[in-house]
Amino acid sequence: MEKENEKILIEALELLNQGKSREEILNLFPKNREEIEEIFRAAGLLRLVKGAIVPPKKLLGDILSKLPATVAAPKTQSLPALRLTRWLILVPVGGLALLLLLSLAATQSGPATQTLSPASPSRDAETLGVSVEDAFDLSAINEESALAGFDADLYEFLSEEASLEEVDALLTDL
Amino acid sequence: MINSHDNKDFRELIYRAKSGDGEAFSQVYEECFTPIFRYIYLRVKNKAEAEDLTQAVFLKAYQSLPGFREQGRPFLAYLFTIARNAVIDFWRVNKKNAAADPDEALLVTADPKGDPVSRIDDRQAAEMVKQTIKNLTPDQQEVLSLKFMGELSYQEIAKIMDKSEEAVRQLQCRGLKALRQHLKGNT
Repeated sequence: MEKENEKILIEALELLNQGKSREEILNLFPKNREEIEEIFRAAGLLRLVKGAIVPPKKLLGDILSKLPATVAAPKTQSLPALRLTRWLILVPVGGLALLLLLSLAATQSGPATQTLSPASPSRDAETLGVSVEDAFDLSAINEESALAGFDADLYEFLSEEASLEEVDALLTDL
Repeated sequence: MINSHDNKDFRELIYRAKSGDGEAFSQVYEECFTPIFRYIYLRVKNKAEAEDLTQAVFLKAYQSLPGFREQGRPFLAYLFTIARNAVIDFWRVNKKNAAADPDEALLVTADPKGDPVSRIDDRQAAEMVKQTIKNLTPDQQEVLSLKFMGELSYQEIAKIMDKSEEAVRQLQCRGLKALRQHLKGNT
């Protein structure tokens, strides 16, 4: 019986919550009219309390005035932090890139400085502190163009030799 | 006003506030400020404490806003969860001083320009309810505060209190009955 009454009261409150008029609800449950009226009055009093509790406007202003400081704090702190983080990444990466560029440049310019001119082997040898023979050999190995020239000279020489042999043969035949 | 907290515009406002839009955050505050204050005030029954707690709740909400994910719980319900925890912590610390200042009057009346007589009546009635509600069980007080001060739905209250909607309806019904009984006894 008690549970049944409670069910009706809950339903009445639900209907009130949905916007039905008090009279309409009371008419739906005539047997529980008095009890429903009681809890409706209690609900009405709570609504009255709600209306009576009005926070001071100053409080909202106080809270909001504290916000910019709170907002600004992480921002002003985070910006240098962010800058520092950027530098922590950029400096090593930049350094590595610079080292890589320098080593590439060194690799490209290395053979040129080490290449010895066949025209002045003794001066180059002196610079590198090696014997003239070694210096010459080194220049011959490193200079592909010189090797190619050497091949051409050899071919020309052999061709000349061949033609001389032909001349010799002709003279012999005579 | 409160019912609009679940709508698209309010969600957009929350999104903007989360992105660091200070103006949007101020608007969110203004929307949620009064129900939160009312709830806290009715739970702690002390003006100064209610002001301090409200301030703490909003600052905490601001700090945790970037991590807020709706996940079926609107922002207002999220605020009430923070407020509820603040009230629980308050009573845990102030257990020995549980009796609120009986001379403390409610802050202002609903309509400062209204009829002075009805204003006094409202104040008296409100003060009576404020004192009587202390006699209810903590869960009943919680449900009535969230329902009538926060204007939350049964579903939202159920989520905040980690109870079923049916249990919340039952607590509300029993709370109102008990409140009425105590008020009748006082008069």
